[in-house]
Amino acid sequence: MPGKTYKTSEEVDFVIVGSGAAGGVLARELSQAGHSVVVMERGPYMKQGDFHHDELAYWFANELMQANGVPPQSFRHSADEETDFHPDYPNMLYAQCVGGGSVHFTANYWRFHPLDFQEHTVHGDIPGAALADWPISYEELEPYYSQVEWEIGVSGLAGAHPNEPHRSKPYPMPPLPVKSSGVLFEKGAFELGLHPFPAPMAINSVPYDGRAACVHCGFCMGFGCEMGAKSSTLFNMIPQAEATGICEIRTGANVVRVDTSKQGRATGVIYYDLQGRQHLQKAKAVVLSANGAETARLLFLSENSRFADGLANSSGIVGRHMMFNGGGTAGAFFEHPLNEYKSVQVSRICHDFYDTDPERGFYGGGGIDGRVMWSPIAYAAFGSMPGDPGWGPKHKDYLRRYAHFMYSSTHSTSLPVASNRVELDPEHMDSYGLPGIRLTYTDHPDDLATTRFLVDRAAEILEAAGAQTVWKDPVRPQSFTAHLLGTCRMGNDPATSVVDKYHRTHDVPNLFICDGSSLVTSGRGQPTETIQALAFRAAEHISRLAKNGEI
Amino acid sequence: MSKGTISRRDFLSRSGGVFGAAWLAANFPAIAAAANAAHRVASGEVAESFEFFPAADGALIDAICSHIIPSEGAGPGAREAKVVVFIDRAMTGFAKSGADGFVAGLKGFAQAFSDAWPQEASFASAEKAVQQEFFATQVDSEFFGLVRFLTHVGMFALPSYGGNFQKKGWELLGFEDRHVFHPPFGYYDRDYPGFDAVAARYRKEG
Repeated sequence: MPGKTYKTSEEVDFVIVGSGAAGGVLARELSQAGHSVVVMERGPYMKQGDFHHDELAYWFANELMQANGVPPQSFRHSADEETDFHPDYPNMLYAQCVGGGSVHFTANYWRFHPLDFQEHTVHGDIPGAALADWPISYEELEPYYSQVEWEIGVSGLAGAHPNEPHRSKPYPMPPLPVKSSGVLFEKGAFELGLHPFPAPMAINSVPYDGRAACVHCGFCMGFGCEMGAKSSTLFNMIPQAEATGICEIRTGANVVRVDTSKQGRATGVIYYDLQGRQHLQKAKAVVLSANGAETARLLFLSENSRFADGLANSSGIVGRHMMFNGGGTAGAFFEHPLNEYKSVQVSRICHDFYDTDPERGFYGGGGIDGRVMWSPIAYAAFGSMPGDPGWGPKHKDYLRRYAHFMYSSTHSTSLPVASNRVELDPEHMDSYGLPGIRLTYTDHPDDLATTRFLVDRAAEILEAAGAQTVWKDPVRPQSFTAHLLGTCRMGNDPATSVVDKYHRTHDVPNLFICDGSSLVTSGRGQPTETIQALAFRAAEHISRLAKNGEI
Repeated sequence: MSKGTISRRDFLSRSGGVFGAAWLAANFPAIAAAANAAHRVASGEVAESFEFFPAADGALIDAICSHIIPSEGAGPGAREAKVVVFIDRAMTGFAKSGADGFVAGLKGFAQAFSDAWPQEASFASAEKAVQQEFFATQVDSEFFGLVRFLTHVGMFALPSYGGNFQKKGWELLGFEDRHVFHPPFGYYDRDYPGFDAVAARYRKEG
C-alpha cells in the first residue's frame, strides 16, 4: 500500500534529512506525536528480500553506497599534505538507502559511561585537542538509552560487569548465543583477572517486536539483514513512522540546500529528484540527520549573504572536531575450529580499560572484543598474519586455517581536534556541479597511544586463552571510518558549539541537527546507541517546542 | 567496519589500483552478466573453452593462479576451483575495459620469464622448481597484485560469478554455505555452561 505523500508546496511540520539511525527515530517519534513529516533519503527503499550474501557486491563493489548525487570525497592527513582522491571509493563509509548506516552496521550497542560526558572537568585541557564537557549528563540521557534498548531492540545481559553504568531497565532480550571467539575471549580475560561480559547487540536473540530472531547466518558487518533481525531503523522506526499515516519517506531525494528566509528562518529544503529536477519541500522546521559528514556539507552548501560561512556556523566550528574512534586488532589461530563466519560478529567484550588511567601517561581508554572480522574474499585478500607471503604453499596454509582464526579488536577514544574537519572540496564536484567533501584527519598522539595500549592487552587476552599463534597488527594513522562524530557539537555556548542541549541550532531557531555530528566526545567506539538516545531525547523536546508554539 | 576498511586501502595498493573498488562499482552489472556465462561453463552447461585467451595464455594464467593457491597440499587450489575460467570470462565481459592492460601484464610476465630462463619453452611447461624461483621475483609487480586479486575473487566469491567451482574455494577455507546455523558454532562453544556459571567459577577461584 502506498504510503502518505505530500506536495512540495504543502508546508509540513518537519522535514528530516536522512533516514538512518537518528533520522529514523526522529521520524517515528515526531509523526507518532502527531506532526506531519517528510523524510528525505537519497538512496532507495530496500527491503529484507533485497539483501543477499554477496561479499563481492557489498565489500568490494560498495553496492549499498551507490546512489544518485553521492558527493565525491577526498582525503588528506593535514593541510600540508596533498589531497588523495579515489572516486567512488569513500574514506567515510555510509549506506545510501532507507535506514542508512543502521542497515549495514555491525550492531554493537554500547552505552557511553557517565565519565564520557564530563571528561574536561575530570582531565582539564589536553594539548592539541578541544576537549569539552557535554551540556547533558549520563543521568539525563539514561532513560533514552533504555528507550533505545526496548524500542530499537537490543540483546544483552544487565549487571554482568562491575564497570557497567547505572541502568533503569534490563535489556529486553537475552544475549545472543556465545561463539567460540566469545568463549576464548572470556577465558583469556578471566584468566588475566579482567571482567568480560556478553556483548550488547542490536540484533534479536529471540523474536521481538514483530521481527524474527537471528538465524546466525554471519553476514552482519557491511551487509543488510535478510531476516530483519538486525535492529535497523529500516525494520522498526521507519515502518512505524509510515504507519502513522502522516509520515512520508521520500526516496531518491538528494537534498542540496536548506532554504532560508530573509528573517533567517528555515523554510524547507531544496533537493533534486531522480530525474534531476529541483524542488523545494516547504516545512515549518528542518531537522538534519544526514551524518557527521553530510550534515556539515549541507550547512556549508546553504550559505547565503546572511550566513556567509555556512548556515548555523557563526561559531566557525561546523565541520570541525571530526572524531573516528580509535581501532586496532590482534589476531590469533587456535588448535580447533571456531567457525567464526557463523553468527554475529561479536559475543563477548571487556570494558576494564574504559577509563583514562593517568599512570599510562596519556588520555584515552576503550573496550576490547573477541570477534570475527572477515568474509572469505576479504580474509584471503587482507590477510595480515606475519609469515603469510600472500601466495604459494604458506598462503594456502593460511587460507586453510580460516575456521581456526579470530580477532580481538579494540575500540577507543578520539580526541576532538579542531583541524580534523570536513569542508567543501574545492576541486571535486558532484553530478550537480556542487562541491564534494574534503576530509582532513590525523589521530591525536594520545589516540594512537591508546590503541597501542589496547592492542597489547588484546594480544595478552588471546595468549591467555591458549592461542597457538598471536600477532598484533601495526597501529597506523587512520584514514577510513564508518564513525562520523563531532562536526556540529552540542553545547551551551554559541561561540563554541553549533546546537544547544536540545539540538536546536544556536543561529536558526527552526533548524535542528541530530546525528553523530552532535557528539561532544567520541565515547569508546560503538556510538550508535548514544546517537539514537540523543534522537529520542531530541524528538521529545522538539515536539514539545512545536506544540508550545516555540519553534 | 573501520578497521576493515583500513586494510581495504592496503588491498587497493596491493592490487595496483587497476581493478579497485571504484572500478568494480562502475562495472558491477557487467560483472554479474559475465559471471553468469562463466557459471554456465563451470557448471558444465556448455563446453569448457577459453573465450578470450588463446589456449597458451589460458595455460599460463592457470599456472600463475596455481602458484598463488597451489593444488599441492591438503584442499583444492585455484586450478580445481577453475579460477582461470572466471578470469577468461571476465575479460570478455566486466573486465573488458581492463583486458588490454591485463594482456600486457601477462605478456610482460611471459617475456620476463623467457629472458630469465631462455632455455625453457614457457612458464606453464617449466618444472615446478623453475616456476617457483621465477615467480618469487614477480610478486611486487602490479600485474601480480591484479592477478592475485582476481584469483581470490574467482576462488571465494559466490559460485554464481563463475569461479569457486563446486564451492571448492569455500571447501579449502572450511566455510559452510548455509543461511541458518545453530549453536554450537565451533569447537570451543560446545557444552558452554552459561556466562553466570563461568563467571562464578572465576570469582570462586579468584
